[in-house]
Amino acid sequence: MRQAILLLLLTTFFTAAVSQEKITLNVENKPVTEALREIEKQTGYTFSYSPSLLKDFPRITLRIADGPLEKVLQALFDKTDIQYIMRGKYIILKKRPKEVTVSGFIYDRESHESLIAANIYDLTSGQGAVSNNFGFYSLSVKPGEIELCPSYVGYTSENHPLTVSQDTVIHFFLPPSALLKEVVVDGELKNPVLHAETGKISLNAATLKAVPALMGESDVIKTLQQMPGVAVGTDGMAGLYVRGGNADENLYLVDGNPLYHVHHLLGLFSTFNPEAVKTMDFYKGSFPARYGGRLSSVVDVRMNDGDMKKFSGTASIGLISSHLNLQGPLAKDKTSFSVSLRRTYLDLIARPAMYFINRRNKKKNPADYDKVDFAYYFYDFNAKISHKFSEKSRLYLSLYDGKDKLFFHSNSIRKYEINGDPVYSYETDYPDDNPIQYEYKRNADETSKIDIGWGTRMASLNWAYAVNSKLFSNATLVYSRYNSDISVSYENKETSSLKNMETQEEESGSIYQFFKPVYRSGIEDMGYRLNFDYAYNNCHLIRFGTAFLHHNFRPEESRFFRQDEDGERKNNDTITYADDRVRVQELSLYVEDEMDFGKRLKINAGIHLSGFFVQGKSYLSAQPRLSARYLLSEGLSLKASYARMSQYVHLLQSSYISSPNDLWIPITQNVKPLSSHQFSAGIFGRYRGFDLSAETYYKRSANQVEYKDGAGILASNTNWEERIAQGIGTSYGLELMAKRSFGKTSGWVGYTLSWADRQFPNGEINQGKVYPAKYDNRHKINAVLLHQFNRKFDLNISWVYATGNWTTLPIEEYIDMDGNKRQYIHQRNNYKMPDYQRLDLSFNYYRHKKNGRRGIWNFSIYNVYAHHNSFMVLPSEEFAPDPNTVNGNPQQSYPTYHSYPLLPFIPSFSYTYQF
Amino acid sequence: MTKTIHTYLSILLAGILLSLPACEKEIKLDTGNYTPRIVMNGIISPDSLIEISLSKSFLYTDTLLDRSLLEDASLTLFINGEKRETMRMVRVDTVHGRDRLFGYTALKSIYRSTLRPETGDKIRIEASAEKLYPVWAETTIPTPPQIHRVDTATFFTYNPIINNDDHSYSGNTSGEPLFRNMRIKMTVSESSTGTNRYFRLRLRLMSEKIEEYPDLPERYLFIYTNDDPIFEEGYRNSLLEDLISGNSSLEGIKHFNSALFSNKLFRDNNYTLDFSITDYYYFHTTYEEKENDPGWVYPIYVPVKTEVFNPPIEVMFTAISPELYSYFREGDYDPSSDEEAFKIISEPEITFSNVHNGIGVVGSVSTAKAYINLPPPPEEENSIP
Repeated sequence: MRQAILLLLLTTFFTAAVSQEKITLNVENKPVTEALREIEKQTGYTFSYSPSLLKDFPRITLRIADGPLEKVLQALFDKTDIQYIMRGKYIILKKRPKEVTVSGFIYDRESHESLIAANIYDLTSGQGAVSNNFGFYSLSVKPGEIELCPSYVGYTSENHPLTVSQDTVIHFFLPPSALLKEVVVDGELKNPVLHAETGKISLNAATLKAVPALMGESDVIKTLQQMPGVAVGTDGMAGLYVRGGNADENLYLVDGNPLYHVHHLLGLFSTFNPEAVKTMDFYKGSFPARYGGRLSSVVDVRMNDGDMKKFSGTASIGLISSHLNLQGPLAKDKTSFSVSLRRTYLDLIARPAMYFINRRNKKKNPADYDKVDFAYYFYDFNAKISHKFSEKSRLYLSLYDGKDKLFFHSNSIRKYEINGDPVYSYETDYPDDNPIQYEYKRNADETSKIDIGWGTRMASLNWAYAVNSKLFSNATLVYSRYNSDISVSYENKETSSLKNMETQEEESGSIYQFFKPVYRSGIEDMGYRLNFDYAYNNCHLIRFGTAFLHHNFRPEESRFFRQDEDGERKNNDTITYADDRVRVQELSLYVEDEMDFGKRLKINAGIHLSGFFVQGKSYLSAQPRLSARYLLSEGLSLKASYARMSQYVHLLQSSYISSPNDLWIPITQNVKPLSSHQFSAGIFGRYRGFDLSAETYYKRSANQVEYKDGAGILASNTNWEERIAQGIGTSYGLELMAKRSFGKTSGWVGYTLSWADRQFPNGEINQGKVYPAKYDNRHKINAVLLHQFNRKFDLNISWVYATGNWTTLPIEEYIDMDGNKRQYIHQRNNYKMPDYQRLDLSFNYYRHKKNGRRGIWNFSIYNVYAHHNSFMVLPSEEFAPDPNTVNGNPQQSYPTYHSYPLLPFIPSFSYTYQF
Repeated sequence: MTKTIHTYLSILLAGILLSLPACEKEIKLDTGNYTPRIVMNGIISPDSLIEISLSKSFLYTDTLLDRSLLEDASLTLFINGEKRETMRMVRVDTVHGRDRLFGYTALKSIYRSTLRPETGDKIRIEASAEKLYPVWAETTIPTPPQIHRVDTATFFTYNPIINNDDHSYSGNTSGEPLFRNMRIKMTVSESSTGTNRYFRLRLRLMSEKIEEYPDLPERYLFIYTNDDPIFEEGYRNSLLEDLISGNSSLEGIKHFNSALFSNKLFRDNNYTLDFSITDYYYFHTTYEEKENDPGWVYPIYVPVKTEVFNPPIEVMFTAISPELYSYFREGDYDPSSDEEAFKIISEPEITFSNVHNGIGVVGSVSTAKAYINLPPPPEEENSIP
């Protein structure tokens, strides 16, 4: 041990001594090799280099008296493309690399959660990069001294000066900001002036939780409905109608995995639990090539990875549901977990009440009573486990399980006994000439059940690996299954006996009946995804990848079970009406390049290739994508984009509520893929902390699917291809937005002027004539205000105004050929419903406790001034005093129209405990 | 304690339930620019005078439906492109009815031709009236189909296949199959080549042949089938729709009171229809007024006797024009039905009409008929089980 220390000391002394050696050099217009030989002579060092390296080195003139070796070498080589490295007695000369790559991951210092889209900026060169969905960044800089500044919303920025001469890996751990946590829309890193995409909005978890929503339940989709370009839809429902598109034209991704069914309770709530969400990117247009499969929008949601350092969580209880979120390390700094559960509990209250009522009924009359049991609930369960093999390699296991369940069971018990003389004969139903004394007994037990359930299960295994400083990869295996199940059963058990009291003869009988129709549909996906990010240099960030999905569609499975017994006769049947399965393969490839041409011009160009193989037919599609930004000044840019999209699955949804029998159907030999072209352009600026934008778009969709006239409410796969029509959708508009991202007061104001039409030229809908889309709202204004008074109170307000949705209303009637009065409807969507407006308030009171724990009381009001927002308008009747009578009674009825709203003024509250 | 829990839970439930639905509101539509349309309807048969009804549409909110009468209209008949005559108004029909909301009385004028068209004629009717847009409609009289053969076989079931409104069924406890059905195989043909043709099948009890009671109401028989795929065409409901609408495919049997189909399953223009009917005897019950029970305000009628008749069954196999196929496929319009109630949350139908610039259906038919004579029912079947 002593010898090692001595050796170390001697080496250090020697190195220090050598580096301090003084050199005197006096060369004038001589080859550099002469200077090197002189240095070797004076210092004892030996230069090592390739002869060709100095072949074209210019002659030098250098005069240094007693200068240190380091200084002499710097004077010789610093301003050249040759670098020197001192190794022992050797000084190695080599070509200086033009650029080196600094790469690594950016994390939250406290939890080690990776930070998505964090900014990393070199103050020396002015170059910057953004971390990807796994927190990985790669930045190319010139060798030498640099000063890196990583930054992220809600975190403190720190500058890191260092010297780099070769590729370097540096990980950053940013501390959360000690200042008041600001609820922001997005940060500088997402500066809309700078990035190339039009129509892109990014939101973080804090914003998602802050925007007021229905019954205090924060909702991702309802927050997006507050954005320009997104229609209000049906009041309270979570459907997304983006730039004139339909609800099934949105691609929902959870950690990169597509989700089909995103609604609970007929669309009143979405399946995204904001407590489990980390970030969300929303694209209305200029879709990068890595996205495909839907026409109108992409909602890319990333879930929390879990805290690698310590346990934490929240528990909240609200008016309609409760949440529990836990996260923490399984192995510190190695493995973490994040678990979120949300469940409604009205059934937990209602069912005990039903139990007491049923028990009372039975007690009151044990021979004749009814039992009723009904309930509705939904739940969402998210779980994620993250494991870090090394700084370069991580594994993620994500699970999701969400379900809606509704059931109604009723049971009737009837026992009775009759003694007497019948007036009418049982056999002939005529007056009986010879009535007899009889005793009749009957026991009946009748049970009806309706059970409806629908939900999704999803699992994915993702491996993220930084191959080298420039190349990052992630590979995912994914499985998901959506099922909906509706069954109605009826069971009847009956015994009876008739006894002639005079002859004592007795007849008895029994009946048993059972039938149960069952209706199921679903879709099951299995596949993989492989994605790469290649930071070729600061001017080219190339992304490429491939994905494969095997779809197993079950559009409709309907069966009928029947069993009946009548005395000795028994009957047992199972009838299968439909049991269709469609197996499909979907393959896609993409490549995109994000390019910088100088400081002003940025272009993202790419192509998405996809193939869909169904029923022996192949559909191939090449979808070019292009978006460009030109910086007019630091705070002003012009942007334009074009995207072609294709869609191979669609939702058969015959009403404007989301119901469990909505069917996801693939394209077939007869139903062609949907496709769209979208152009958009705009001007984006930043002024005094406000992000301002004015954007126009034009979108044309082909082969859009809609039900033909007269589709029933119960979508059916039976002959479904014959029930639908394919046509053209056209939409265009202007979106204006001003938003403030920083400070105690943040939020946005948006205005949309838009048109959206449909046309089915074959004449199958609306006789081939153009008609307005249901959600063609000509004007829409959104205002969202988030204000933090202090650490204890904040207030969030949102207001929306939109011109009414279109609906089909019978305005006139006529007498048909059979003499019936019939309603005449000459056009689909012929009536514009009254305008829509709504003000929501949400108020939070924070009670801070020790050790970072706190309680949060939330009080919110949906539709503060109880504006009557039409859910539907229907023909109806009203009553008015009869003018022909003295006092007006009886009142006369007259035909009129009634508007029915769904959601009135709704206050709610919740309590959340964070620990 | 129980009472307190019960009270608390009830209040909570009520509060939650009451918070959801909100108040409806009456709204007035701006109909200041409304112009009625001409309504024209008619079914044309070969070798029969053409009768067309004419009226005009009215606003849903209109309560004076006699304004439906269209006076001073002009109706012109074209046959095979040639103007043949101006049809004359021969009468005004009064229509009484009741929809879900109101009773109503409406008027329509009937125009008649003096000419009788023939099979294959292309008929065009043009109508005009002051201040209304002129309208026109066209139809071509289809070639009549042929019924070559009708075979029948009787069979019995334990339970009724279709619950008929005339009878209430409380269960067959006899252990014997009691319910009479008839299976019918009917061979038909039609003469067109290469075109879509449409047909309608109906069976009617010829109650007018019952001499004892000359004014008995008409009765059409329900048709059902398990085996013949041709009847699927006219049936567009799913299992769930049947459950809701009460069309009772719970038993696995779809049934129709008129079957619609096309010729796409025909082979060499021929087809053998395979279907069944049930409850095809005519039960007529005579009622007498019973002495009033002092507890009741209204008179009570009690059945006195039921007679069973066996009038012939008229089988009508009709070729219908495409316009009528679309019209009949819409089905019977019953504003009080469950289907209408559930339609409020789905996309309403654009009303089918082949009258250009107007409303209505002008179509044509050609019918072939056959008759099934029934033996008198056995005496023990003279009562209702």
